[in-house]
Amino acid sequence: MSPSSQRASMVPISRTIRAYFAPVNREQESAAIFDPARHGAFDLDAPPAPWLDLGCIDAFERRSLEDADVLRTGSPSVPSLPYRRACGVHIECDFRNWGKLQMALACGSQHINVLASDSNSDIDPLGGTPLSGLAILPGSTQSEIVLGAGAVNSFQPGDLIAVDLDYQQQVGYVGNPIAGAYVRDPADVRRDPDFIRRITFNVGRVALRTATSLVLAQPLIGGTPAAGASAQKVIAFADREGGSFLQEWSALFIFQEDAGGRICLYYPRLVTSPPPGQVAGSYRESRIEIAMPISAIALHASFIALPRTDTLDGESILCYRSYFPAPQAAVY
Amino acid sequence: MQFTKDSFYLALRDRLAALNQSRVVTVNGTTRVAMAVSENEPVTAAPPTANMFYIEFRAPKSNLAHPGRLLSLDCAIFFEAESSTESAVDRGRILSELTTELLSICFPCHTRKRDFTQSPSVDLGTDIFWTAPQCDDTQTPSSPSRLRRTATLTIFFFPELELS
Repeated sequence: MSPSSQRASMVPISRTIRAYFAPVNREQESAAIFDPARHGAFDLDAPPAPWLDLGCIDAFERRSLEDADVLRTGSPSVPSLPYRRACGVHIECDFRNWGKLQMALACGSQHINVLASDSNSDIDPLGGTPLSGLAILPGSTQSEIVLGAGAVNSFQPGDLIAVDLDYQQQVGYVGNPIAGAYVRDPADVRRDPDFIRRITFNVGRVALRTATSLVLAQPLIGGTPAAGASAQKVIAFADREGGSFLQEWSALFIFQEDAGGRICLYYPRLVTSPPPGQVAGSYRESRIEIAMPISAIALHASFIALPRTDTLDGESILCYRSYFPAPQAAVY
Repeated sequence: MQFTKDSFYLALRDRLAALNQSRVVTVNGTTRVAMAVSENEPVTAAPPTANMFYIEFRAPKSNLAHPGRLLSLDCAIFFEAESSTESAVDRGRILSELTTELLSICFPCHTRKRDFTQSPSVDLGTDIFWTAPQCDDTQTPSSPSRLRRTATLTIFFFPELELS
């Protein structure tokens, strides 16, 4: 191959950025890992577990908040020792797809499943007293929820369902296995047995109903439901401005390559946060013009990165950038 | 540049064959996928074969500001939908089918550049990529039972040779 072709292959060319997120274990503050050696330049439509495809993003910006200085010595003083005084990373992007995860990440606070309620229940911004959950039976998987004959008729193909355990007055992070909220006092949540299903990420859409089970269009994010879990119908998703809970997820942004190599940006821990020091506030949705006045509405998200202690050398790391060179590309 | 033309054509032809196995035409007794490069076809006064995609390569340009001396090549793909019925009332539907197929096979907008003058073909080490196709208005060619559409796009590629 000619030297010019080798050099041309060193130019990454991309028109799309794809976003993948994976849950952080909030109890242990352990991030999901993107391992370039194990995961490789994977098929972008079939990410390896635990990474979840959140689709294409726009307006992606990442800014270093690094504060560096240099120690000066001598007379007259001359720069002698550069050092970092502070590290930080801020990221903004627009999610083009709306979904439970995208909304949760954009809002950053607790994300709510609005459960189907009785028509006589009190009205509430997040839905009134919900219809009772139906216990799921052994044999359920992340793609098929077994309810038994009769009970299964409570749901129709096309319905959204939330599947999780009853709230049992525990404190701390709740949601199985992905934390969707933090409870300080059971009284705060009115000891609501449906509370976990209100905030769980284990939500799926019914694609098919068999005689005893519901087959889901996508597997539940949290995997096979815990024993003792129940299912409830979800009418809508909701989030709130305010609240004290902050979403924390691992993120992987990939410049989808048209030519050249693949660039991956891996953030072990991202927390939703407005830009540091911003006074004017951050916009929540953006409009992407199709043909005025028709616009697509995108979810605007803003994050700061938290560090992970790298086992390689004990350093605190905010972001990893990996690059898969194109086949036959020159190395330098 | 010829490798770029060949790679683009064969990528689209193979994608069309995979997308719709019935999108074939029979010309002089030979059945082939309904896609051709105009400049590679015999010179003839006959109208284009109906329900077949024709690729026309147009002006090449250089983009010297880009590293690696990125070149581009404008390209038009036209096709004429013809009804199989006497009244030809389904010619619009056939045009829509052809348009949808063309838009589908243009994605993803990139493929590997290969030298197809050798067998097996040889990887030339770079990719070619192109813009999303833009379709023009429906036109009525000489035969009233036909509808014609042209889609344009620009192909980008790195040359095999050093340009100085």
